[in-house]
Amino acid sequence: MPGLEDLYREIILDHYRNPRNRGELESPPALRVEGFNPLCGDEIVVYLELDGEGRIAEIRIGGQGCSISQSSASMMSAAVKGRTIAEVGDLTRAFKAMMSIHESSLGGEAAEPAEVPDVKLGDLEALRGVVKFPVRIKCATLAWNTLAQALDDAAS
Amino acid sequence: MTRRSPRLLVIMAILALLSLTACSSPTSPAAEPDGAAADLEFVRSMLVEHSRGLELARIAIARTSYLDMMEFATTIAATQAAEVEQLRTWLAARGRQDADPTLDPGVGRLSETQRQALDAVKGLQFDNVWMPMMVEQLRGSVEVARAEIDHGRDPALVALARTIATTQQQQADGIHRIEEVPS
Repeated sequence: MPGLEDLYREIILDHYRNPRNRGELESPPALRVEGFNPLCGDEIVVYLELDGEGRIAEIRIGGQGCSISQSSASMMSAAVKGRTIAEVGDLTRAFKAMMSIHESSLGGEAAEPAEVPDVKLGDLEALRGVVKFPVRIKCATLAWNTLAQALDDAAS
Repeated sequence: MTRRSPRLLVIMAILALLSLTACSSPTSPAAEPDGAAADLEFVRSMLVEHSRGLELARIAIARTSYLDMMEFATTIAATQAAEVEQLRTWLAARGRQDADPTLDPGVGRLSETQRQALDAVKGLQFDNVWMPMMVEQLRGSVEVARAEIDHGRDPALVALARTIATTQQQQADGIHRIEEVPS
């Protein structure tokens, strides 16, 4: 009977080999933002369309790189599609907290970590083991940082 | 994966010659320096092997697609870094720090061919290229360790060589087990 690590390995490789929401959207109207990790050469391109209610109506992912960066991007695209920007923010904070990245609440004097939203991470849990390898955390978070940049661009 | 490097073959030939000389006059005082020469050669050769092994392991930590391989490469790197410390301490205790071949920045590095082969692949292909290189590297360390077990004199070094021969054979076998996991 396969253990949890084997299951996580299968989930990561499945997303790498069969990436969800892979492709492009016509830009404009879609937003197009590129992310790059100079440490290991990972590239992510996020195409994003928001609907009138501030939900992610469509998302597509392009780019190339290691299995961690590409499977994280695939999992992210499946997790955020149809979600509101606020929900995506919660998911992002929960994922980054799993990667031991705690963003301090803005404007506070104390550098206490912001509360981690109680959201289900689903397949993203498979990337939990990456936290033990600091050099690879940027691979796992590249897609999320690129998405955050796209949402910032949409808001401006 | 039984290739032996030309350098290792030269070392083994010298050790065999020393062994023959020692056998011809077992009570000769010359037998002692032979063992001492084997000890020094073991330390120097293993520093070169481990320098290359550390480079390979660190590349895998940065590039492998498998979390279990990241874990494994981390263990290999930690094992070899600790052994490098032991080997350098042995040289330092004899005032022979200058005998460390890896002080030369060109020694103990991956070959240009190996580096190009690793640079040329992405994703899962990286692991397919890296795994045989690491197995060969580990087996190279095992061969150097076995030469010391057979010909060395310093009991501490021979004990270290036994540990290396065992652990690095296990690590080479362990890579194959990870490779064999259906994915």
